[in-house]
Amino acid sequence: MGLGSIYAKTVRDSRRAAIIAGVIGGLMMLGTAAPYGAEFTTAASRAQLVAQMTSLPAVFQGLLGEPINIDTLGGWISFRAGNVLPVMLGLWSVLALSGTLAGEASRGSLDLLASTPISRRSLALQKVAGHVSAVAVAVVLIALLTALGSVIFATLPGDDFGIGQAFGFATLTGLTMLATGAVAFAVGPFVGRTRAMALGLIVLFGGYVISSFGSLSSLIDAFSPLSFFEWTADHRPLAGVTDWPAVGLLGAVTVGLLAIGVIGFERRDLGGATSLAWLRLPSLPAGVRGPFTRQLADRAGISIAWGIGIGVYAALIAGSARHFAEVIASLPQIQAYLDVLYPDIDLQQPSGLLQMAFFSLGAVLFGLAAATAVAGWASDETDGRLDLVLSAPLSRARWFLRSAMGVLAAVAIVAVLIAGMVGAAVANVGGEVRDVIAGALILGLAAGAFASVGLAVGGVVRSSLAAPVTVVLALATFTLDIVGAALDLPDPILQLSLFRHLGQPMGGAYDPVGVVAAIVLVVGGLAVGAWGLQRRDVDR
Amino acid sequence: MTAVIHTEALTKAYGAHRGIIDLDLDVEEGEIFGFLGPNGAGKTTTMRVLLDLIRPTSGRAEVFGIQTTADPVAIHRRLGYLPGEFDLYDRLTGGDTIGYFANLRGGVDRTYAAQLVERLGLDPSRKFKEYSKGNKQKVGLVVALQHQPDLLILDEPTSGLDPLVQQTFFEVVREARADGRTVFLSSHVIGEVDRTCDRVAIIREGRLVQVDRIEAIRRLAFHHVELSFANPVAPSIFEAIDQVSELVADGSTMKMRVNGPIGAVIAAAAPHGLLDVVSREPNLEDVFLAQYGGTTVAGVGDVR
Repeated sequence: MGLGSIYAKTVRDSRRAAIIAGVIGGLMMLGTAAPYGAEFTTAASRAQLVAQMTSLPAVFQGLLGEPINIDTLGGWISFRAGNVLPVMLGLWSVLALSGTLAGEASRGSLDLLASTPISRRSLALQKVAGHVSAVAVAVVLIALLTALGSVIFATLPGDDFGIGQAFGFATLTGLTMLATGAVAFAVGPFVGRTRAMALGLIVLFGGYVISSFGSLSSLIDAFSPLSFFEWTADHRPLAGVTDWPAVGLLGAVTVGLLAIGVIGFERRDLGGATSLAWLRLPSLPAGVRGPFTRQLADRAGISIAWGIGIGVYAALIAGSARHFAEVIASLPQIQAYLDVLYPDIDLQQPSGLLQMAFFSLGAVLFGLAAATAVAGWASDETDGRLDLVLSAPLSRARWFLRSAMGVLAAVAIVAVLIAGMVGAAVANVGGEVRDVIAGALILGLAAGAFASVGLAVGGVVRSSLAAPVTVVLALATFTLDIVGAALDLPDPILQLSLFRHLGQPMGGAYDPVGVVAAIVLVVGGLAVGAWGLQRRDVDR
Repeated sequence: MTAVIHTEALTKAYGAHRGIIDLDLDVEEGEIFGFLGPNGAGKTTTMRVLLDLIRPTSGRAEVFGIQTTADPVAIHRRLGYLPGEFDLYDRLTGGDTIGYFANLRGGVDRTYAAQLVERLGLDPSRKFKEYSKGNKQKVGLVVALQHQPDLLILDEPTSGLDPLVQQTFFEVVREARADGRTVFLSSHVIGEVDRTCDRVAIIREGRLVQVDRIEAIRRLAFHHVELSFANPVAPSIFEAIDQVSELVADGSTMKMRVNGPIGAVIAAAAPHGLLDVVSREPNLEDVFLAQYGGTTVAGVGDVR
């Protein structure tokens, strides 16, 4: 099935990712709609909400998105999720489109494909079309689940929105994902896979940060024309406001970028060396003393990049803390609403704001960073290096423990960088530095726990499962936190989320249960993985 | 002689798929042992069991008298391994890679490693990802050989190497034997195996079908026999002999293939004015192809 053409095979290879992206995106929309439907059940309460939100200064509006028609359910979920969703799902497009051709090249299958009577142009177009189709599947799922949110959570007249509006919203989400992926695809033939992926991620996160924090400084605001999120900020079909020309412009740019990628692929040498060799991730020395240093050296570069990326995001939030605190103090109902959503947080403190605005998304990003390191670890076995390594007088358990410690050290690099950057930012605005540093390190511990569970599955079953398990754990925990209560899931299920047991660490409220649980997961994961690898066959 | 490798009824199944079945094998200390078979016959599976990378479904395997599943680290301490397919660290240079494996083992004579690098013509300063297939193979060979192990397990060691480097490699292998070390290798370069190995085993569809010294295999396999008579003779004289096949009469010459000893053929021919006998001994490639039903190619060592 799905092997009739390059297009069909690309769709086949993407089907799981498409469904996962669509379901996660849809659940996020449901999770955003649920508390609104429960909290703002009268026209008066919503009118007050609108009055207060529209009085917010630009910095606050930017942080949460521009409030358009937020007295309706559709307006509210556009406001809360409209920008965040494409950032999360855009990762998939960037990874897929930066690797769809380069991945074939590194496997050695691109030469074979290109030797068939299919032109390079057709090959590239079929690859792109396959990914676009997969994104379309995700868009359909997001639209359907968003529309379901209207059916379930609409409480006042005007809350209902149709399937067409849901599709309008989901289409912009999909297009924004594709646009950032298209950047990676366009530059891929010229700079290579890794740099293309890095540039795509910079455009994705940079665009989001510019859109969210442009009001903080004129320097950031100067980059606004480069942010896809800014271009389409007025297109909120769920709120009854559309800006199709802006969407059309984004679509045209996306097509143009994809065309550049196709032409570049057509004209350049297959798998040709990059001309930007100087542009690379920072890295540690070679690391040849043993499995620990080897693993750490190979994972350090990408960990440093993750650390800097997430750290900048957190630092920008911390930088707006004082302004935010002043505003929030003057808006009692918003304060009350946020108190419902984030109990026990002192929003007057930068640490409180970080707990509210950074912790959840930061935890997911941290989980993805950990998964990246775990994926690199897994490649030792899947790429066939492990046969040679284990022919040395080194027991499997010892190799597992040392290399897994290298992965955890790479995760620790991310944590330390984030802690350092956010600590410096909080110190700059005058706040409790210790709490935010401790919070970042606890986030790192949670990511380490996810990684360790992934490593354990990799050790017991097979390495190729390790990174997917880590990703699923991070995303499932996040999703459970945001939609679990809204869906009235039983408490024992809600308690499965590790984040529920970590307290509000960035806000200074620590829960030793979660910290101990995370440490147990880290240590237990290592032990189980080492035991498992001793018992099973080594894959090739 | 002591068996460095010993297997008994060794079986490895991959679910419903065949791996190896009831393999009984002994590789003696100080010999070069060739392991031949077509793709998918079970050569790599056997080698990976010997390294304890995969575990037997049944039966047992011992290396240096140690059961492979009992103490693989003790075995690994004394062997060098080159997988048939492998990848290494893209960001490391060839030299770094060789150094890394030397560190994992400890006690490696770096001078010897440097000599190997030079003899194989490897530039150790380039990154692994920049190497050609042949140069990657050279890195793997140095990794396997640099610690001068008591046992070398080499899966298709000449894959990707040019003929000159192949020659160098077999020189190194012969030097290892001269030092009393043992080599267990699979290869498709049958001519070199023929010239280098002391004994060979042929594996087909997971089962061992032949193990012996190369000369014995040649002798016991078959011969192409050409008989010259004073006058034409009736083919029926030879058709009655069980070992004879592919009988062709050409005037006063009779050509045939004889499986096993040719005494019965000579005895049948002698009373009919036999003038001359040419018996072409098969080379290893003939034997190998015959085992798999391929076309037999002309042998090299004609024996009159």
